[in-house]
Amino acid sequence: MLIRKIKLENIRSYNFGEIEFPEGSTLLSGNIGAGKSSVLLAIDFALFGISPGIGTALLRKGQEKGSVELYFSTDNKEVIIKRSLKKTSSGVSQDEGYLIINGEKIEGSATELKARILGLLNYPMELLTKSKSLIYKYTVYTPQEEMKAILIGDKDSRLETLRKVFGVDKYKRITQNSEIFIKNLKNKIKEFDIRIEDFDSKINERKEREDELKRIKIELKKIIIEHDQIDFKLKKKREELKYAEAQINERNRTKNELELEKNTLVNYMDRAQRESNEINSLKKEISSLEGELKGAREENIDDLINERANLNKDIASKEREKNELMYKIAEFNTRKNASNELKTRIKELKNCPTCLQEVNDGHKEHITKMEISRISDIEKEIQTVNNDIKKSEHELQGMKDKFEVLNNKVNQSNIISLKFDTLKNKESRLQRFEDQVLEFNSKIKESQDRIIELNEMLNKFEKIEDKYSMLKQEMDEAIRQDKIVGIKRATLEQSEMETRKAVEKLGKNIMEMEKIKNNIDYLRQLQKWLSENFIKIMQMMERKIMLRAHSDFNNLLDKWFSILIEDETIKIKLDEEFTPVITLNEYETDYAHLSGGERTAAALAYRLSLNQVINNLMSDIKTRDLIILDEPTDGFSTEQLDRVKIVLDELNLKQIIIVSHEPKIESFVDNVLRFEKKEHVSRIIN
Amino acid sequence: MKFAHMADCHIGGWQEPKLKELTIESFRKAIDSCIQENVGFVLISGDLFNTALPNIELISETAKELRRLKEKDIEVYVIPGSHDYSPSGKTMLDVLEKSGLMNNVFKLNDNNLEFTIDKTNVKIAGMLGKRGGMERNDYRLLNRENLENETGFKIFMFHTTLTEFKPESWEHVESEPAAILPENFNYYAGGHAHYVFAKERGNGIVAYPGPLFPNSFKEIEELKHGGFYIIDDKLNMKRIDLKLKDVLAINISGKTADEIKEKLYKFLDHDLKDKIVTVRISGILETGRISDINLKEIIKQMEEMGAFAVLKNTNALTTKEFEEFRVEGSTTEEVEENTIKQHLGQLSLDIDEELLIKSLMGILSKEKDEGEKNLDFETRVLKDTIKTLKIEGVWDVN
Repeated sequence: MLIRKIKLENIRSYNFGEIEFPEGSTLLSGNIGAGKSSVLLAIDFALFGISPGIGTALLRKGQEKGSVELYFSTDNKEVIIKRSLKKTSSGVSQDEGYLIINGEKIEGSATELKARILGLLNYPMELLTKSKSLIYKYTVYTPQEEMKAILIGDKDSRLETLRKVFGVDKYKRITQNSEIFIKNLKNKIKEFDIRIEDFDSKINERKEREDELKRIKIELKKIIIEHDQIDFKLKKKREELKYAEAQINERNRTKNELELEKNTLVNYMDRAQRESNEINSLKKEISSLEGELKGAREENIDDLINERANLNKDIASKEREKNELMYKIAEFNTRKNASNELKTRIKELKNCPTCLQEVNDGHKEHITKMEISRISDIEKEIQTVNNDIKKSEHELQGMKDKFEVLNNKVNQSNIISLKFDTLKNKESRLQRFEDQVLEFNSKIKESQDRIIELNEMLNKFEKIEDKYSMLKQEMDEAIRQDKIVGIKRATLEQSEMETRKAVEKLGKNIMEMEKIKNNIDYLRQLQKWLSENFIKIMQMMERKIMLRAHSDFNNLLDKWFSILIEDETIKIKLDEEFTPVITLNEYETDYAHLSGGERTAAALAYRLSLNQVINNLMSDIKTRDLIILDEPTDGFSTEQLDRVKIVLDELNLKQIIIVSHEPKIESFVDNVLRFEKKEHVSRIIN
Repeated sequence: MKFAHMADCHIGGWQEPKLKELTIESFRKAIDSCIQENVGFVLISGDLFNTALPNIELISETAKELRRLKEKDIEVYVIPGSHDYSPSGKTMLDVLEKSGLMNNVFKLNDNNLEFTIDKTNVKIAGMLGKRGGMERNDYRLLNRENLENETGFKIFMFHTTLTEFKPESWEHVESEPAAILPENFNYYAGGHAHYVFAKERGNGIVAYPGPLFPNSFKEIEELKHGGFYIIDDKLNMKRIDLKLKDVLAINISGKTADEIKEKLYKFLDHDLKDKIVTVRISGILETGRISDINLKEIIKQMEEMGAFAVLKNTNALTTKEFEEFRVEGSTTEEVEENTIKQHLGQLSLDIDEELLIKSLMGILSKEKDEGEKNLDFETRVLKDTIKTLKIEGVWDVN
């Protein structure tokens, strides 16, 4: 962090002030009371807000409001923070403020602004609730008197402060919080212990139940064998019985078949008898027919039939010829009637029906003559045709007579032919019957054989009923046994299942308990580690950091002190409680026995050493480049003042702000800002 | 003719008022002896005062004593020593010389030292002593010839430790070879080295009378008291001891605070009345802290028993922790990191121990928030820790 500028309004002795801080070493010079330290208090206020009681001291007397605006840069950020003060009935309190980081404005409460500032400076946040930032106080700006106070103050409060500053309080806190956790952890373990109290009895119970299960299983195994044997026997009996039943069925079927066969035999014998009767009667009929047809022979009837058919066709043709002639006669009669009608009509006609002209008598006559001639012609024609008709009728009658003779001839031939057919038919039937009788006789033989066979078969089933009944009895016995053993088996299976379930349930319980046991083991190990190792590590860290701080502090204190005090007989070192021990001529002397300059030197050396120890320990804090020294040379001799130059060179910081009324310091610094106070108002002169 | 040779009076050399008083008291007693012995003159080989500008009371007391010599016509010859020399010339020696109470024999012009001749015809030359042995340049440039060739009884005053003559234990003390001193002097009156010593050199003697009063804790322990020489013209030397107080030098060591306390208590049986008691405690305490010894209380008891002054030195007393603790790492982070690394392997669970320690530190370093109730804070810590330890499955806080 580098401070760039500060603006003060109504702060302590200032009405208004604006001070720019260059890099390098800058001396705030001026007489005591000129307003130099006010600037430092204002910087402190701008960064961290008011400390109890400081507000009243900061606000200029008689003013209602005041403010400080601080410009600084850190970590490539340009920051402006403004805080205000206002007078209230109870004193002076903080008014609104804001923070501008790289041009971005953030408004917030005093605490929020402080948190932001701590963040920007990379200070531990745990300082947030503390009224002051100890880190800032002991690295950047410690009012000189406070440093002397910490030196001569009581060692317990000094150690307490340093523990906070070095950040080792943290380890104590970790240890305390660890102990809280361990206490709870122990309770949790106890709670788990209670839950597994009956673990051993559960184990025993499971053992007992397992033994019981084993016994049941052995017994069950035996019963199962017995049961299986019975089952096997039962199955066998069942098969035997089934077989016996099948035999009974077989016997019944054979019996039925025998009955059927007997019927079949009777049937065949009946039919054979009937056929024989038929044969005898047929033989008689054949003999009669043969007598009738003796000497007769079969003619070829087909020629006769063809001849009769042709004659029939000729008759039909003659009939059509005669009909055509008759039609002609009718046609002639029509024409004769038409001519007669015309002749009549023309006689009475006056006007032509077509041209409506009057028909003259000449024309009438002409027509009548023409028609009479025509009628005469027609009558001649009719005569000719009537002659033809008479001729045709005569020819037709001769053909019809011939047809009658031919027809009788055909009928006679047909009767003889029919009788021959009947004879053939009967002979064929006779043959068929004779064949059938032969067949039936063969069937009768088969049937008689089968009946013999079936009777023999029936003889085999003679005692089957007795056997069946015996088997049935045996099977009933087996079923009874099966039932008894089955019940035994089911009972055992039931208790096996129940015992197994119990064992399983116990197993599950035990498994859960084992899980808890494992958890207990795990938690115990954690507890052991936390109480024996983790806390030890924390204590070790605390000790080591205190030792590191002590060792660095001691070396630095020696370094700074010997820069400030040339006298080799005065040595300074830190005792184990960070109290500076001054050794003068090798004996340890009291701080009070030192001269004023030596005391100031010791305080300044302590202050510079502490600054560097903190900066070394907390390598990330952002105030490493800046230190503010407030009247660091009070009581210094001229020679000692010369040594301040060496101090400034050794510090080698980017920004050193020194408040001093000692004019000699001016020659050691890069910049001088002069302050003066006139009429109760402070201001910068240059 | 005889003369006194004293050096390293270191008046005002103790900050402890009682011992500071003894520095002037010793000087007073030395002057008494000189007057009694009727010496011709007194040599003071540097460091009459502990600083160039001592406070006014001391100057006044010293002047008073010097005046007694003056009244007896005994001249006092001094050289500035490393303590009372001032490069700016602003030294009280100058005031005393100008008031005629003493003579500064360091007269160096163009690398030539001038002799100061006493009324006894003894010729005295002297070279100053400077802080850090810076007078070696003056010796280097010194024209020795006229000094060595001067005839008569010659005394050379110097304020430098000589390498050849320093005790073995002073190995690290800055010194110059004896050859820097000019030859042919009858008496070399040395100062600066606080030890009593005299040795022949050529025809003369080189002598250190030691401090007039022990100027440090160690000197009280070893020398017990101061003194000076009286030498006659035959170079016979007489040692005058200035025994102002008896000294009880307690030097004990121990391994525990109790052991040391026990040893210290035994000294409470001694007669401590009006004695200077030095308490040097050394050792490495195996347990406990140095403050457990409660040395302040014991010293208070010794003072109550009438001890004139009790001085303590516990420089070589440390604790085992401080002695043996090697802190690796310079920043908090490094120390934490290294401490964790050194203690890994203690947790036999399958957990990244290093990560766990770091996470736990983050969780457990939390503070109670403002306004947060104790129980709420405890629950918060508990929950966060359980989460960090990854035992939520086993331990449900809700």
